[in-house]
Amino acid sequence: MKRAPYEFSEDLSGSRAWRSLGELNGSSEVAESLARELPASVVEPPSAIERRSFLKGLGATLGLGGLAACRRPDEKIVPYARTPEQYVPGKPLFFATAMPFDGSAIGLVVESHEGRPTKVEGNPLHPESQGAASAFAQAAILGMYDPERSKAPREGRTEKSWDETDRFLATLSQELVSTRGRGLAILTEPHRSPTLAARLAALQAQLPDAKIVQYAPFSDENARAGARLAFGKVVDRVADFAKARALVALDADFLGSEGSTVRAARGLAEGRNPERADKKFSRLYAIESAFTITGASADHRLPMKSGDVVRFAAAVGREVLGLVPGAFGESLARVLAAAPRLDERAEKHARAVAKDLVRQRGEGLLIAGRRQPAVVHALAYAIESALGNKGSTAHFHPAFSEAGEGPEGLQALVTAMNAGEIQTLVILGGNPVFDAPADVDFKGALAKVKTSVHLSLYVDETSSATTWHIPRAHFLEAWGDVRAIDGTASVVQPLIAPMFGGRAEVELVERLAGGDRKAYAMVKETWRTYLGELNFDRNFAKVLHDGLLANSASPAAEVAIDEATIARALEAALGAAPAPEAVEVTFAPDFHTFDGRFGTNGWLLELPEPMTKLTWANAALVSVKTARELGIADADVVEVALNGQKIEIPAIVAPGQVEGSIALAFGQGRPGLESKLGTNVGVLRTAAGFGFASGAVLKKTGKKRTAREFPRTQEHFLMEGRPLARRGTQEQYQQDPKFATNMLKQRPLPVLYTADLPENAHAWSMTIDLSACTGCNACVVACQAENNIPAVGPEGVSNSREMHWMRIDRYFEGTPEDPTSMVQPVLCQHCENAPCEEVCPVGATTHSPEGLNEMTYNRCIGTKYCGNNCPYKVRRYNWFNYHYQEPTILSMAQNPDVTVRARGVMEKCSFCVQRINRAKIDAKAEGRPRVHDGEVVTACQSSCPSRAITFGDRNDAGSQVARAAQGPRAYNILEELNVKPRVSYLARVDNPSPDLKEAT
Amino acid sequence: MANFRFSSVHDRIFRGVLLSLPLVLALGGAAFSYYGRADHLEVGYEPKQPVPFSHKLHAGDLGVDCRYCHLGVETTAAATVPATEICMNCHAKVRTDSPKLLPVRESYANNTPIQWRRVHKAPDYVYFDHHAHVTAGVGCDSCHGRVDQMEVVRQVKSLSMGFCLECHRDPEPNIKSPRDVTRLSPLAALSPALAEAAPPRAVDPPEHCSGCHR
Repeated sequence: MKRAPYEFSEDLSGSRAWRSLGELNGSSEVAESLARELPASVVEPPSAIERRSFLKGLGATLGLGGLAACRRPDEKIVPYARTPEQYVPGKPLFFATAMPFDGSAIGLVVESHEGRPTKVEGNPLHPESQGAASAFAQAAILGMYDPERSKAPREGRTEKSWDETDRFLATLSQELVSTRGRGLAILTEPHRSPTLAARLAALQAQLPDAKIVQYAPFSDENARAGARLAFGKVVDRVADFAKARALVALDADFLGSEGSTVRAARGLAEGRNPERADKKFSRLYAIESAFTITGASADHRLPMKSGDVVRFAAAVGREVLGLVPGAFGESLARVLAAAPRLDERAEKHARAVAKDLVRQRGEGLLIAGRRQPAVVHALAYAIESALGNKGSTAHFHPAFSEAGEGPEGLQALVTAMNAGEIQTLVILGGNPVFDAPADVDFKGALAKVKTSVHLSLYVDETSSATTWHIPRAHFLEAWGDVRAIDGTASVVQPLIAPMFGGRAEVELVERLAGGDRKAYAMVKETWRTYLGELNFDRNFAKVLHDGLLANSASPAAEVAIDEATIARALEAALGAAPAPEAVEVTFAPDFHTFDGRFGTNGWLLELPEPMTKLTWANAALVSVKTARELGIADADVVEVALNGQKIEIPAIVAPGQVEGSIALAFGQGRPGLESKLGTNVGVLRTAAGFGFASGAVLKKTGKKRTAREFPRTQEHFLMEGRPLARRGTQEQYQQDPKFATNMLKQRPLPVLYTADLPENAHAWSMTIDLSACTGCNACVVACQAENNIPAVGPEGVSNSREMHWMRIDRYFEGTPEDPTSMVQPVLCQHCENAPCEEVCPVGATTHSPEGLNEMTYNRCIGTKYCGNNCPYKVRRYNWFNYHYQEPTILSMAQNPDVTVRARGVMEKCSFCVQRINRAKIDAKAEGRPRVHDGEVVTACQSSCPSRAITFGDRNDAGSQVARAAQGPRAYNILEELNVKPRVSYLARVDNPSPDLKEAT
Repeated sequence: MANFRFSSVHDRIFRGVLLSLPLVLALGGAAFSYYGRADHLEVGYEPKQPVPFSHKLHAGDLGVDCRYCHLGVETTAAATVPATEICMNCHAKVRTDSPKLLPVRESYANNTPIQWRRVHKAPDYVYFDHHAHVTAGVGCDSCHGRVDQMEVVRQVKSLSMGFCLECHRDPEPNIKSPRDVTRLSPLAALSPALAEAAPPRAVDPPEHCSGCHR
């Protein structure tokens, strides 16, 4: 193992960064993995095929192949008999739609090839997307084609035809009408669809005795309850992250898993751009129990148990009161003044937070986490409001619906079911048998209901327990509509007829009401009220084209703080603090499956969790200190007991995890799925402890998960402790804008060989702004979808065979107990002096005159020399015919503009050469010699919520990428090797508080 | 059998075979590398189509422009084989009772596509783009030959990588004025005055891998 003969200045960050505790402690395994390209286990095939049978098979294939190859295959060209309007074969069409998800909606533009949707992009006009799309939205394509989706209605375990189902629904409807809906309950997921709301309201009018309940395992229920506490009414809250200059995340992962993550990331990046003309730069404090990507983006992160956050919020209130004596009314001021004192470090943070909030009056934000109780939300609103942020950075809109979304409604429903009051239960979406709180026995109660119907994409746990299952149409297959959190209205436009049959929610509601209209008719009816009769068709077409109704955001809601109520609730909450030594368990949606709904989506399951780099499974995150005390190592199976229930789950020793708190991700280990890698933590999640619960007991079991059962990419593709991800503070940046470049003490050696590239050609290059990147992984999925990258499965990942062309390296710095973190996306750097090209024996990887390091699959013979010689570890080898092993239907999701790679070839990022070529051909056809700046947008770039990625022609001096690459923060990684990469990184700039200088 | 001996005849045959083996292999290899080329294997492919459509009649004698039917050729990668409705534009009125056109009428009436057999094919790992070539001024005949003289379409060029590169390295002989692209017969070429008005474009075809392979 050789070391680079260069020195880096020690006082600057980056050089001391580590990816795993093993690397920090100098473990021999990590050292060994550095010395070799791939783990030793990689040479083994996945399942044991004996050598002899393999040779036999080979012989047979040769014989057959030889015969079959004698004649040219007879290939058909099948044009339409009548071509649909606007359709030209080979030319993709783009349709605007919207994805209803997690209490809001994200506007999308979907690319469709020959009627097959293949790629999801954000809708630039939509406020929740602004052109970007989250990882969940990107992966919706795979979810739609998922061969595991249910394909027919079922009564019990017998498949039924749609005719039989409709007859059943007609009979049911007649019965319900005759009893005015007595004994009927409808359980829906929280939704924001005007049409569904209207249909449900009409049904309620027709069947006045029916109950309608909403439930989701993760929702903004606490925020709504907080609003009820603070304002006396439910409102929807939209935060202006771009305008805010002091932001406090109170156990809130607003960049990762809570609410409008795309909008938040875009806004935050805008407010933290070091090159902003007005020099404004926001400061983000994160107070959180588990290390999230929000904490990784923060200037200051304070590890704190979720249960203590209410006291921290009160301490902030107290300090604000100290700085602005008249900030709160008498009742709240009294409670805040008496707020208990925290430990010294927390107090220091609270003081700094308060100081910043007061200094940035009118431009502050306190974001309370979803799992925090209502009182924390209410207190956050009160502090915001006292400092004039309401209406400036914190906006409130009239709530779409006042109905509860949390476990209380479900609890009441279960009580009614148990009492025999419910004879008919219709469940629209969701999976309550799996995700109901542990102390709400939904499944048991379901057995007492005579007729139960579940509309669902999959025959899941709930569908197996109901008397009827009806396949649901995916949002890409059915008409619908949705209002985003700020009220912006969109029509959900289908891209394809339902793949496996399937009904929209509104269609089932319509059947219950005795009608048989299609969703399209019902959606249009709703939209007639929005658009009016005059020119309806034209206006509706415009909405479909734009993907939203312009200016349809709701007006601001009138809200007034009711301090006395907050004061009473706060006093009670502060009095009921759990014992400090009690161990806490926190619940968050799983990064891969959300609440379990994406449990079969290979793209999402294989996406490494940003902080733990775990794929395909979930884990209990335990603090470094606890792990040391109990002797727990990564992948050790631990027992977590709470309230008499216990689970066994593999542990991860998580740097930054607060002492005395165990973070559990809910959504894995669904009993109805084949994969047994994940663990269902729902057993511990009760209605009372829905967000977090105190009093857990952690024990080591002595069992351990193997790498195959617990695949992590943590230590894959290490680049040996060099300062790759660089950052500095605002102060450093002001003093020395080129601090990142200057970290390298010795300049690179002079070059003997210069890249012989024509000067007048395009010079494609990319910059990635580490100040903006949050590590959300949207780019990784976007790349996977665009470039036909297969998922390799848990076994493949454990063998370091993951195929992602883009990976996100996550580095920690500082002590394991309380590190800071930063992320860095790494893709092929398209070196001008590319080391990979030198070693290819067959010329399969070459350099284009435009500076692309190109990979020609049909030439590659799979020596893997190039991968060995790549200093950035970005080349991926196709060990198997992953795509041929997939169910055939998934080939519909593939991009026809990109080769589907077979076994035995190397592949890597191509800078989306198919998009470059498309733009170049279009430019040439129009007679333009060059492509305009911004005409080529790579898949990762377009998906990036924070616009961290810029791509373009470096030879075009006015282009965005040229300006960014010449900016002071730009640096190249492994610059000292003189490979002249075409990807530049812009160093991260933090804005630490001067008051907390010594503290962190 | 135990007493069996190889006679000297066997030895001679064996030696003869052994000695001629290199020659046989060399000849075989030479034959394979010559006759195995696309020039010999691909050129001449002339499958029977489900409808006996005559390009000679339509494009040659009647002078229908290529783009009337192959309408993607100027805008997309695929030239596109026409939909049945394009045939019916004329044949709803012309030769309405011809038995040869029965499959076309059936296709249009039942909305079932006609399954044409593919003649010209680039391998799957090649991303050939008609639109790029046609707008640059490469005539249809450069790759497809004189289709206007063919009763049944036949592959006349190898369409191998060597064939592509030959032109990409020296495109001039194949570049016409873009408005001349579909005029196949040399007699029909542009008059000098018109040629001056719309001269062939300067082209810069890619010679690097990712120009065609991605």
